[in-house]
Amino acid sequence: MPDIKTEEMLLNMGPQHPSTHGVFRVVVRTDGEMVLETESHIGYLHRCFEKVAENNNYLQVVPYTDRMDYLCAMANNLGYAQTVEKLMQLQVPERAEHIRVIVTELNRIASHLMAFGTYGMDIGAMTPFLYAFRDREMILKIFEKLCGQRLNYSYVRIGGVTFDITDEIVADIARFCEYFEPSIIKEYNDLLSYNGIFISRTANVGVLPVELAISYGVTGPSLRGSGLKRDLRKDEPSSIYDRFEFDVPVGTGEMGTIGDCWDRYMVRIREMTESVKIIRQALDALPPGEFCDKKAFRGVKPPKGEVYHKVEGARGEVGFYLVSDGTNKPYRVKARGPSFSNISVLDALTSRGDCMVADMVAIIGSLDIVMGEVDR
Amino acid sequence: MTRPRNTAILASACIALSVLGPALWAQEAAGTAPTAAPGAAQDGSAVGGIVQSGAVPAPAAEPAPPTAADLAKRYGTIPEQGGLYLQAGFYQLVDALGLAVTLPEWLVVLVALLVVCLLVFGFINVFALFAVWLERKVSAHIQCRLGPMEVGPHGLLQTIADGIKLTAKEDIIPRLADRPLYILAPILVFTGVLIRFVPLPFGQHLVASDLDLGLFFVAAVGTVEVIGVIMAGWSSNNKWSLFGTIRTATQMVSYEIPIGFAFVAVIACAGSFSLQDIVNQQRGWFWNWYVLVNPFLTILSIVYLTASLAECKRAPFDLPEAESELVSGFHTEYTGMRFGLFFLSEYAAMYLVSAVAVVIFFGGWWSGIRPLDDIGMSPGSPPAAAIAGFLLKAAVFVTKAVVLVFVQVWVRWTLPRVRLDQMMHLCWKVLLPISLVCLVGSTLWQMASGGAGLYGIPALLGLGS
Amino acid sequence: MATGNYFSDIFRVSKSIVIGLGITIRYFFKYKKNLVTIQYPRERDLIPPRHRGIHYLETEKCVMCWKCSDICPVDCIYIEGTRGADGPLPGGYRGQKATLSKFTVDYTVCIFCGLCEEPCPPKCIFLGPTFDYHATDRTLMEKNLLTDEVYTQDDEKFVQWARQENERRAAEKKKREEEEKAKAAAAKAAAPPAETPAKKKEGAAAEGKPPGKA
Repeated sequence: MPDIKTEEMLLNMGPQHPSTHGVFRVVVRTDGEMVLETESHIGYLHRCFEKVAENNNYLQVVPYTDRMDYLCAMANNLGYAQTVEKLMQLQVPERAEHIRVIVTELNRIASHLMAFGTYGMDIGAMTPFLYAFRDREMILKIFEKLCGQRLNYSYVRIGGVTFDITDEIVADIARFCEYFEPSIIKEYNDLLSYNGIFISRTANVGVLPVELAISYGVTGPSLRGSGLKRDLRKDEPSSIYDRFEFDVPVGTGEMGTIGDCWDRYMVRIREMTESVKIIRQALDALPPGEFCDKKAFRGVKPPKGEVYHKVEGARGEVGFYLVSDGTNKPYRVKARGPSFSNISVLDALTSRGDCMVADMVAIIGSLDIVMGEVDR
Repeated sequence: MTRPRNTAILASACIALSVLGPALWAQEAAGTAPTAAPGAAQDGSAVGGIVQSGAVPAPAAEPAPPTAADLAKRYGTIPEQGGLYLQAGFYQLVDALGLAVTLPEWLVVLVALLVVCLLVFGFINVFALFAVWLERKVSAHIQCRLGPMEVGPHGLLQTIADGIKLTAKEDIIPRLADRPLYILAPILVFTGVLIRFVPLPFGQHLVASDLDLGLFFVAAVGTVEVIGVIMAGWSSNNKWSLFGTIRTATQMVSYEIPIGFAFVAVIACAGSFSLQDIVNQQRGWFWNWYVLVNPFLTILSIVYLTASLAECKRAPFDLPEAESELVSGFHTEYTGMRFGLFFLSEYAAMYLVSAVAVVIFFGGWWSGIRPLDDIGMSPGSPPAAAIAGFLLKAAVFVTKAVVLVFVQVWVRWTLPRVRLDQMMHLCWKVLLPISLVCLVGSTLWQMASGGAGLYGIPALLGLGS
Repeated sequence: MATGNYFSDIFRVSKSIVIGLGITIRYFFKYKKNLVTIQYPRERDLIPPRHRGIHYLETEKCVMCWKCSDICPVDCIYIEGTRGADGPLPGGYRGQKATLSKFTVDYTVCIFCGLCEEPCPPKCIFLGPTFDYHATDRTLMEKNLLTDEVYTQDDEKFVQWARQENERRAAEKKKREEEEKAKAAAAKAAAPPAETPAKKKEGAAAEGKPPGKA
């Protein structure tokens, strides 16, 4: 209505806000509830990972890689370790490969549980958050038995893993898989995913077309929610992912348009089922043997050269670009955090003119951002 | 000014305003209402008191100072059946102490109203304490944890600790905030909720003042709360609070309409606005409750419960205080006891809408089992039975209201939040047409069936009413 | 909105809401069985053996190789002491081939990565089960692993004294060696006997006492 003169409001969803996941500032220009334009400011969690990696030797960098994407730390460790092993052409024992796959998939489940819980909280349902954390607690207890820490593991190292996996832990993991799938996932679907109010909040909201996603470099469940079946575990399998059978869930526009928030969210729920499949297969196929390459444990000195290697983290493609000059300290480590590219698409999604302030919260939650990865 | 003194002044101002306000209002409304059943007043034993007969004075002639019966006749309705009546009981007490001749009339009436209002206010406070504990425990049990366990057995005294914490907090008023509005907003919100308790019964005849326009009063006066919320958001000088305010204004005003239609349908069934009358119409077995009388009223009860959730700003309609979007909505900038007043009024409103739902749909204080309801109700029953019946009815009423409050808490912790336009769609495009259709349908059904319960089935089966 | 969808939408949403409510009410009535939390200070969880908490050190095994200090990514382990057969430093802690005067971990810096456990040759440093190490001041967060207590001012004084004492001993030793070299050189020219035992006894008597930790 051109007769009504309305004023625009400049709102600051500041670094401290209950629904931005981590310290992330968005300056929003709104006309009432409709968002006209957003501008994101990042960098509040920058900790100079890449500079620090230049001054520590290869083993000492491993705890730093944990803290980039702290919710899926095993994938970061895995990416870094595999990068160095690729440069060194190092062969990792079979048992270590299987253990790596198991812990990475367990961590993926834990990370998706966290995403599911906090997304529910952003939308307003407080209870699924607690249920997700109850299940996440079981995974964290398994990890504590395995490597001693609940969040920043430093477990996957160059040449293998730090500790061996015992029969008790194998039994725990099997019990967890039995408990989790399919009954708990069905409970989450009944409680939140197919809830009418949740669907009306997330369907047809924040539709991410595939071309836009590709041009911004979005990867992971956010890309798969837009319909493109791209998963590094299937397309460019590193270690032994090609031995396991699993599906890659893709958004289909079941409740709205392809690429809306509901699709991205549902891809994560379905990925949890697939991860349990992989874990079961890996547990069955766990061979006896060494759990690490002992020589590599004491210190590595890769030959001169550079290499880029990527793995599928919980949020997308975690990549490490390593330049080595032959000493025991890396010359340059660049980490590609998937949330950095994922978050860059936010401004494009909200500036189309059909987004309300409540929708913006839903979009940020569905992209599943971890600021540790964005800022490194 | 030191912080505790500020808080004390604010708290006493609130109490004074909220007590005197309804007292004066009720006085006004009650004074103009015609009394019912004058014939029963001649028979002193029908004017209930603790002693049914004997100690009741006969009505005096005009020039003599007014007796308890006169006061009761003038300032409240007289029950035609047995039972206890609070205000009349107070006048009986005054009369028995012989004070009616010595004290001026206005003083006795004012003291009566003040005492009653303080009782109501006390009940609200105790209920808010209980409701906060209930919410925390229920949400904890739903979420596989225990809730407060430290303070008091099973955390029962936790709310008192929270209240002490709130009073001890620093009283911040933002520098650029609109001071008069900022200070007045919580008072208005709390008063708006408190006033609505005037015609609300807590049991048979256990009411502050049984207004003849009870239901209409409840619906109309509650709009003061909306003004308070708008003032709170505007005066905070905070864009996020403003968001919460705008959402609140639209939400609370829109959802009053389905509530109004539900009220109208019930009033059409009952034939009176007075809450006591509405409940008395539902006497008998439980199929006389208005929720079970005809299917349109069943749907209307669901509509009313949904709309009342929106009126209380509870999830899934808690956009005004959407925690993950607006930090705290319109009460972001409020700390200490000012925030405590918002908090208190939210729980008081929860009880209020639950109690009104119990009154108009769920049978009020009648337990739905006829023999239980008849305890102490016949005019010649012994005083022990009267007291037992009185207490039973009060307990039934409060229990039903608490069950509905539990349902509100249960719904809050299960469902996500709706968006603003979806909330508007729900109100104007779903609840409003449904309530219109149900209103017409229910009145037609009542006219056709003559008011039989449970869709007329027990009457067909000859089960009595 | 198409009228065909209107009622089915309402029905679908209501059904999903009722299913969700059913799940939560089931949890409400069975909460005792489903309880996940414990009342923390009174009940505690079992700590698994590999848990990475506060360090503890088996002092008598330490050879002061500095390997744990080198591998630490954040440089939070501080070790000082003397190696060698010069006689024990009074107040110092006797390790296998060394006397330690300082072995602290700064817990405002430590990230509990566990990297320090592996390179230790005699396997004497471990990360233990304590996770609630706390203090009221940042300066009190440095733990002296030799005494298993907070690193205090007295400890710092001892370390300063130990440094000076070591320097003093090293200087004395150097002086002694030079004197001996001169003497040996002079004795090569002439034919004198050596007076080493008496000199050594004098050197021992000249050592001072460490402050506070006699």
